[in-house]
Amino acid sequence: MSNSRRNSGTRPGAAGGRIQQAKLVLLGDQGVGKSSLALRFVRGQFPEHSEATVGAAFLTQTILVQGQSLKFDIWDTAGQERYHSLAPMYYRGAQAAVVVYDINNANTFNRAISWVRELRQQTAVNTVIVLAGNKADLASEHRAVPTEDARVFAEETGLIFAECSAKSGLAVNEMFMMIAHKIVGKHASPNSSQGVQLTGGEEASSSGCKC
Amino acid sequence: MNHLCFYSLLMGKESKMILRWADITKLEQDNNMFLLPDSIKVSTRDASHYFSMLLHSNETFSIMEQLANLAMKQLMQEPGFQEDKSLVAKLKSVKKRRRISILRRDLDAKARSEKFRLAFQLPVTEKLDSDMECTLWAPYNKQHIGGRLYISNNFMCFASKVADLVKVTIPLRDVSVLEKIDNSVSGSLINKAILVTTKSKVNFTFSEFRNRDLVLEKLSDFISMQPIIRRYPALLSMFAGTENVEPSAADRAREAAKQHMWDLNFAEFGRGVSMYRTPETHQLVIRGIPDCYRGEMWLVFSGAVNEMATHPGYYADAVRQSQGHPSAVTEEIEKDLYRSLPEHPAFQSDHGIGALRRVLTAYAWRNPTIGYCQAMNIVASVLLLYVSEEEAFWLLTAICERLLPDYYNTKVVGALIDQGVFQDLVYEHLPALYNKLDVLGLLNMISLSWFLTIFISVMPFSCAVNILDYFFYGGAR
Repeated sequence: MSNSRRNSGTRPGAAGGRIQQAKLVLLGDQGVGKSSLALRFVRGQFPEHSEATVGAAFLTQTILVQGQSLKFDIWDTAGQERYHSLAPMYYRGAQAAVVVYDINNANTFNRAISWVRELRQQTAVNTVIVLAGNKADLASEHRAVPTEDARVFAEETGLIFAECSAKSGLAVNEMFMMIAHKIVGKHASPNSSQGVQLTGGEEASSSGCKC
Repeated sequence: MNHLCFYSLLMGKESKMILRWADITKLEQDNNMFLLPDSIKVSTRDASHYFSMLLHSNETFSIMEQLANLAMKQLMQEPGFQEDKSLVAKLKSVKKRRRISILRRDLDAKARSEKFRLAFQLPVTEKLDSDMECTLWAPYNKQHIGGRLYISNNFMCFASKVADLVKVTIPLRDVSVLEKIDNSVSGSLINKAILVTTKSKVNFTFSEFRNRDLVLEKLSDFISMQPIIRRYPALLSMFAGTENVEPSAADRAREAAKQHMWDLNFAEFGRGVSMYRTPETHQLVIRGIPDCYRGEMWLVFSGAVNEMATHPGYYADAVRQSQGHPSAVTEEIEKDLYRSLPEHPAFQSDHGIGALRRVLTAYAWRNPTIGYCQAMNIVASVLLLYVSEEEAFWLLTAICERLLPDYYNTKVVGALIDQGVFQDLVYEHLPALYNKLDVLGLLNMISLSWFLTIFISVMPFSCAVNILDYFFYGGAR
C-alpha cells in the first residue's frame, strides 16, 4: 500500500512529449456534490438534473501543468454509507483524494473527517488529500460549517483546503490545478516541496500517518 | 442446526469436536482415499477434518451440504428478516439421532419448494404441497401436453415435460369452478380429467391423473381456504403521456405492430396470471413488451401481482405507518429523490417525487434490513413510469426479496457476488478483454452499478426497459 505511484507511469504523448497519469478519487457523504464537482472540472458544466451515483463513475481530464500534460483518471464514488466497504478498491493507489463535504450540513463535515482519517491510515504518505467544502454559493444563507473550523482541521492534518461551488464554478478548477501542481512537482523531484500550497500544510503531511 | 458435532468413544478415549456451519468453507465427498473409504472432508478456514466410515455416506453428505448452505444464507441475510421460522423450529426439535430422517425430509421439502417458487415466480411464503404427472389440454394447438402439476397452498402450476413448451400459473383465489369430466372435449378423448374454470371464464383441462380423486380433494381443500379478496380497480399509470419527446412515426408504427402481436397472443393464450406461457410468449418478450402492456406484464411475469392481490390495503397501511418518522433512512431517501431519473419530466414534478418518496419510505418500513439502498431509487422510478404506486411497491418488493435477494442489503453482497461471477464469465469467454481490463484493474470498479440498477443506468432507456421485460419474465437466473 506504500506505492502510490503504481498508476502514475509516464508514457510518450503528443503534447510536450510526455503524458503523466494520475489517479484521483472523490469521497464524501451522499449528496454533497462529488459528481457535480467532477463534471464541473471535466466538462465545465453544472447539470441541473443529475442522477445519484451508484457504485462509481469514471471520468478523465487532461490538463497542461508546468509545461507537462497530466491526465486525471477520476473515480467518482457513491456516497451512501453501505458502499463504504467498496471505497478501498477506488482509493487504492490513488495519487490524490478529494474529500468533499457540504458546507451547509455539519454531518457531512464529520463524515469528511472520518474519510480523511481512513485515507491517512490506508494510503501512502505522499497521497495528496484535499478537503473541499462544496456548495459555497449557498453559504450566505445556510452555512453550517465555519470556514475557520475546516481550515484548522486541514492545517492540522496537512490537507489542501478549499471552499468551492460546483454550481457557480467557484474555485473548482483552481483546486484541481493545485492538485496537478503538487503531483507533477512531486514526480519531477519526489523529495522537494515545490507544489503550490494553499494552506501551508506541507510540513505536517507526515503526521498522523501509520503506513 | 448451527453446528456440526462429532463424538467418539474409542477404547476408552473420548474425543469431541464441534464446528460451526458458518465457519465451514468447503465440503467434499471422497471415495478414493485409501485409508478412509467413503469419507467426507470438511474444510474450515483454518483446518480440515475427515469423517469416515459413515453408515449412510451419501445421505449424510447431502444433509451436511444443505445445512451448510442454509447457514451461509443466514449469514448473508443478517438476522431477523425472512427467516423460515417453522423450519428453524422444526430443526430445533430434531435432536435425537434416529430422527435424522425427519431432518432430511424437511430439508428436501424446503429445497423443492424453493425450486418451485423460483420456477413460477411465487411469493416466498408458498410451500409446495404435492406434484404429479398429468397432461394439459392446449386449446391453441389442440394438443395434450404432458408435464407436471404442482400444488401449493395458494397456487396450482403446470410445467411441460419438454422444457419451456408451456407454463401456467393459476392462483387458487381465481378458481371459480372445479369439476371432474370424463367425456370428450372438442372431439378429442380425455381420461380422468379435471376442468378448472377461473373467474375470468377461462378453462383449463388437466387429464391423465393417476389419482384424480386425491388431487380434487387437495385442490378443493386449498380453494376453500382462500380468503375472500376485495377487488381493486386497475389504476392507470399516472405518468402516461408526460413525455416531452413526441415519438417518431417509425417508433409509433413499431409500437402498434408490437401491440398487435400481443393482442393476438392474448386472444390465443389468455391474459393475466393464468395465461399460457409458451415459446411464442418468450419470443414476444424478447422483442420487447409494448409500452401500453408493459406495466401489466411486469406485474404478471414477476408474480408481484399475486403478492399484491393477497395483501389488499397493505401498501396504504405501510405508507400511513411510515410517514412522519424522520430517520437516517428517510434522510438518505430525501437526498436522492431529485436524483432519480432526473431528466424525466415525471420526476421534476411534485406528483412524481411524492410517489417515489412514498414507495421508497414504505419499502424501508416493510424491510428494515434493507432500508434504502442507492440504486433502489433509480429502479423504483422506472417502475413508477409504467405502473401505479402500489404496483411499483410490490414490484420493488419482488425485486428486493425474490428476484435479487441480498442485492440491496447493507453490504450489497448479492451484487458483489454476481459481479464476481460476471468477472469469471468474462475471463472464460472474452479472455482478451479480461486481460486488458485486468491490467487496468477496471472490471470490478465499473460493473457494480450495472447490476445494482439492473442495467438501467448504463444503457439508453429504451434498451434498459427491454432488459427489464426479460428480467421479469425469465427471473434473475
